[in-house]
Amino acid sequence: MTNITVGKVYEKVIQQVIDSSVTDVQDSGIDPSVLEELKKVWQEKLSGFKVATFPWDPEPVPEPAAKQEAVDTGGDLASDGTRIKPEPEAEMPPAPAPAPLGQALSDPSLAAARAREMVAQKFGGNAQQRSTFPGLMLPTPPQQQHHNGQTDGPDDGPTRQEVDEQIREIVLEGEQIRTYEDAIAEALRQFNIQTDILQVRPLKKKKGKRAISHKAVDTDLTLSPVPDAVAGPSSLASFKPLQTDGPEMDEDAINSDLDDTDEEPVDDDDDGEGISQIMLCMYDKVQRTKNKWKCWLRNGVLTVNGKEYVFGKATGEYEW
Amino acid sequence: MNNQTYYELYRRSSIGVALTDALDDLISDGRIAPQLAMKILSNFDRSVTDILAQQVTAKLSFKGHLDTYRFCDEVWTFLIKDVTFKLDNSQTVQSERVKIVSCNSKKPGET
Repeated sequence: MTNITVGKVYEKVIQQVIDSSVTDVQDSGIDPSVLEELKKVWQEKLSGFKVATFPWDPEPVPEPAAKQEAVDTGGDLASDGTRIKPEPEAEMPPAPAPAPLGQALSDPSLAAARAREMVAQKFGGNAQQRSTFPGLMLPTPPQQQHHNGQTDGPDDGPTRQEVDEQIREIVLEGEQIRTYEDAIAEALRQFNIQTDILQVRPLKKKKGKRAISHKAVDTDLTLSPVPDAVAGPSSLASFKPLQTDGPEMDEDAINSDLDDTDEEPVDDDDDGEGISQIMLCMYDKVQRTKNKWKCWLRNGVLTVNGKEYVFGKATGEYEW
Repeated sequence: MNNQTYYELYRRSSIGVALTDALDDLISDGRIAPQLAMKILSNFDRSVTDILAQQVTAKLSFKGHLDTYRFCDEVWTFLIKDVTFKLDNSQTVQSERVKIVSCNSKKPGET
């Protein structure tokens, strides 16, 4: 059983189907030339699957563009790595490059979410309230003056939603920010957060890639300007927790990767146009002894790793 | 041609999917009627079954772990994981999971 024979077998099938369909086409009163077109499109689509090398492939195609429109399953081939023959049109689509370090930031919502989490974490050890940040002054960016006309006071800070929105905007603006730390520092800087009220507690919830160097953040924070006009000591004195915990950030959550929903395995019923890992065949006999199975198969078509194989007979052994 | 019925099983292979797609295109362009397409598909069922039976001699063996088995309406379905296929030319192909759909090689009424 090889992948080489598939092309010849399929060519015979196509020719036989075309030949045997001539009478059917004539019976329905249609010009048999439609079969030529059917054959051409059929071969093109089959080539598009790239499951094997086909005899018609090397021929110069009158309309090269038509060949490209066939369904592209090249991704499967890439994992295989072996190609039977170099076809000019069989160029693999480039596999998606591994995400660069700063790519997460290019997704504004993701970056905003992380920044939000980081800010919440920062405040978690000190003020336990979540929904408001009394004593914290938010910047008054020119375009957002409606957000806060008040510059101090314990309970009149912006709501969580407003903070989130501002973080999001800052992140959106900060396209040039390359690293997560920079993003956090920049966000804190723009919020004019006073570093002295940030009592950074030990980072309990290290979560793999999200574990951040506190040192880096702190260094940046000390450099950030702290306007003394915005939040005086009085606001700090009146600093009192309003809420002991919040729904958005569970202190007891382990937040391990195990909490993440695993990707659902691909449904084995791939009824779509794509090529799945499937063997279509007939069985002569299927036998089971305890958990040992044995089967005798024939006349099969096997599609695996983006390649297709045909076999006359096959035996399989597997335990349950 | 005889009146033997053929399985439509192989329509799910790449060559069958390609034919179905091509016929769909012709139907949606108004070139052929759906009834003609059905006839061509049944011609395909016959041709692919005959050619696989008569002209393909290659052999294959495989081993793996059976994850799921099902036998319904004379059709065996196996989901096998960590499969190793051994081809004729001692080439091996590995796959994490393969679904096997297998119809009875003896048609109802045959002995």
